[in-house]
Amino acid sequence: MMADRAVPHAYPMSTRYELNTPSRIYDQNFGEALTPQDLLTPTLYHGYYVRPRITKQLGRGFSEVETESGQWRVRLDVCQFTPDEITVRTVDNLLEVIGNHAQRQDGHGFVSRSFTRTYVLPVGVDPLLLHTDLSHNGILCVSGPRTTPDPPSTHTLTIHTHTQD
Amino acid sequence: MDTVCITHWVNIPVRHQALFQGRDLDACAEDHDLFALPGPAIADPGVELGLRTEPVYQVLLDVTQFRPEEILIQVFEGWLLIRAQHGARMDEHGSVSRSFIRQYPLPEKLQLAGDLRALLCHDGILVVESKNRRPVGTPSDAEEEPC
Repeated sequence: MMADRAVPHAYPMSTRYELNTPSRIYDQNFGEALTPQDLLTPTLYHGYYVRPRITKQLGRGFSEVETESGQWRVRLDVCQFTPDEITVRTVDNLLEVIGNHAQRQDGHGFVSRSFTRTYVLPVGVDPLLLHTDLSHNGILCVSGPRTTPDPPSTHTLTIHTHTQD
Repeated sequence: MDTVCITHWVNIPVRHQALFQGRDLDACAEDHDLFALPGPAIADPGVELGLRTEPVYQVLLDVTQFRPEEILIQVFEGWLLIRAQHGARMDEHGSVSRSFIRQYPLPEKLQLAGDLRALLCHDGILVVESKNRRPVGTPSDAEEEPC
């Protein structure tokens, strides 16, 4: 379902890349234990019967990138981690979200998880102006202003005509 | 035999359709052998398809994000350990790497790796279950739920 590619579709900072990239992707929660009751009736998906999961029907586990004209915003569902287990940092024009939680008990057993996700900042987003929020339902939101490049200053030259005497 | 075809620019034939034919789809959801990818557990002759039995012990795990070779299943001193790890790979929003370790306590009677078998289903569900099965509905004397 989630095909991995060795190279991105296009150069990450081009318009073509932004147009070809879906703004919202799912399946970002990982290491989830299931019970038989979580499996729903099989449905056809690309010629195979697959079983939808209740845990994936709630609109959770998404990653969303929004590039508006004046603002760039990333929202990532990190509900499997607590705020002190999340690190957000920028490296050059990359935004890194690192989550790491030690072994803890849940309804099925013990689990420990870690992930690193890297976003590429588009042209015009200053890494120093980014602002990070974590909402109470576990959605991390990183946003920053995006400046459009100034239109080139124009200066119209007057045309002097010389009449021939 | 009429076959279902999905039309999505090209016709996609439905694979493994014969296994599902004439069965209630709701009941198929818990029959993991129907979805399993080929592997050593499938070649195990101890399990017949279609027989209404359920394993004594079973663990289900969603490993959609991982490849088969990135998943490691171990049995160690009464614990079932499932590790999955993948390095940085590109996806639609950049690159991502993940890893997790899950531990489940094993019941008293199933302390050996030989008592268990593992299936990886093509919809991303990993099933680890005991090889000995009981008919559906019979309460077992040593009911041990993984909780």
